[in-house]
Amino acid sequence: MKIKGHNITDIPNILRRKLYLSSAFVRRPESQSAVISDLFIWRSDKSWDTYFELLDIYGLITCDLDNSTHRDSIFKFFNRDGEFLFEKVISGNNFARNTVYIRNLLENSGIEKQTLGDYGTFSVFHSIDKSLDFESSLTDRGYCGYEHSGSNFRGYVHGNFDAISKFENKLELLMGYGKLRQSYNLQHILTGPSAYEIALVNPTDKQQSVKVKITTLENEIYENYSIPPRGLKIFNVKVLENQSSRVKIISKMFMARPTVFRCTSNSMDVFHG
Amino acid sequence: MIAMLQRKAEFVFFPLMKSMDLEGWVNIVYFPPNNWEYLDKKPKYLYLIYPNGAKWKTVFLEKITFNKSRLFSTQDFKEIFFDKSLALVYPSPKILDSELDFLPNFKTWKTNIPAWRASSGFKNSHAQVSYQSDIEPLPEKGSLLTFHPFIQFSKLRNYLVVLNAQSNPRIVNHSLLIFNSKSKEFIGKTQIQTNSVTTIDLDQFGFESTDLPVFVSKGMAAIPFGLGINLDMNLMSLEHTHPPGSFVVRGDRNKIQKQIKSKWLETLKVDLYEN
Repeated sequence: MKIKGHNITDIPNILRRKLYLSSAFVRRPESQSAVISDLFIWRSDKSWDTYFELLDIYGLITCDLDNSTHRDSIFKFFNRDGEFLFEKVISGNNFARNTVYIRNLLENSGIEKQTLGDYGTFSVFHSIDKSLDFESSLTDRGYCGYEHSGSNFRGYVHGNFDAISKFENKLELLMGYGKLRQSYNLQHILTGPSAYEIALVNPTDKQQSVKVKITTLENEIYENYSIPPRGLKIFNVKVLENQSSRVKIISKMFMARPTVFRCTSNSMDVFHG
Repeated sequence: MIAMLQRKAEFVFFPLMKSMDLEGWVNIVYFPPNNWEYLDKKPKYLYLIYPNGAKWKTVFLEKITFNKSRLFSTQDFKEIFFDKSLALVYPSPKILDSELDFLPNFKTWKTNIPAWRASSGFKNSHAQVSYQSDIEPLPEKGSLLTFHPFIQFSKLRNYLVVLNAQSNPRIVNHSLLIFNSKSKEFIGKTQIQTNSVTTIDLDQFGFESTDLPVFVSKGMAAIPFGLGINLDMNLMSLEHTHPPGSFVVRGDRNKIQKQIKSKWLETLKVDLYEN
């Protein structure tokens, strides 16, 4: 039996989906000419450095890297509370890959270290020669490399969200959130001995209350955070030898998928959780 | 993201890979990423499935109950299972035959918002490296075009790891062509295989820090990874590159992906180097 074209057995799933996905998963930007970026995570402190692999995305889409020098990329930096810090325009190069050292951009911004903080988010908006075919919009979900303790070695992780759009000078956060709180179970079992840092971005246009549940064999710990739009919270989970933990993130965000930094006594690993 | 919202196959596999002298591992989690999309809590039969060229061979691992996880390592199994450096872990709803003509496609755990994944990676005695893994069988008629910005230039080795799994268990060789994306210069050619993990040493090609290599296969779709290992063997990096369709959102991503591929294949004159 079908109701409005749906099998009756599918109706509970459809209702649940409508209940939890009560708004657009990712909003359409106001203009098709808008360009989109992830909210990448920058870390710059005694332990961590961040690098961004800047590519001419428009040139890759159109198979035209000969004109990369005519194209710019605008980096916009935000602090952990999502407040705008500064922007840096990087002109296109006569080569295809530009590994941008984020510490240099932060230090040359003229903003005091105390105001910058140790971590935050940034976006990269590319100029386009003309609108893309098939009513598509350009997005940069590119690659960050994280270096730990001056190791001269980068652990790479790709972008996660189509988080923020820029059209002319207007920024718009695109990721959706619902009316109901929902759980995101980290798809990774934390194992020790190791120190985890779990970095959660708020890519929505509303301040988000987040409850984190950390479960070990012995106990459950709850922590509560509030993350402003474009902001970032990094929370720590230490796991002892022969122990393991699980992390659940409860919020109204549809995509509360964090980036995970795992450090052991002499190694590190960075990945999406 | 858009693709993620579309209805996909209702089954998934989790790769357990080997690369060189690195062991592989996968940590399967039988709890969904969200609390509303998947409600079935019935136990599942975990199988290891590997190709022998003619069939998929299946090895029953254990029954997994809801809310549990299970870690498997390539060290746990016979070397012959990893003749092609790849086995797949499959959470089957039912008992499987010991040999299969095609990968099973029984509905099993699966979510889309976000995708249900496991942690997979490599390890040695000093370190481990992870990525969030899931794979649906790739189409038999596919192609690969990917740009690779992961090569590092300190004291380390750089590799390209190419993962392919198709429903048909045949092992078929295909060419992987390597170009400089800026100069369009042909750099080299190597072999990759279906239903395999192929590891390619990238340092042999002499790329510089401002080069962006592009890898092309006209005959085989694949998931490409950058793998970096420092010389002390205590630091590793593993991440997959995006398909070209990920450079855009909205609109018709399939059409724009085809357009991007055909432009690059034509510009690079791929046909000249195929044979």
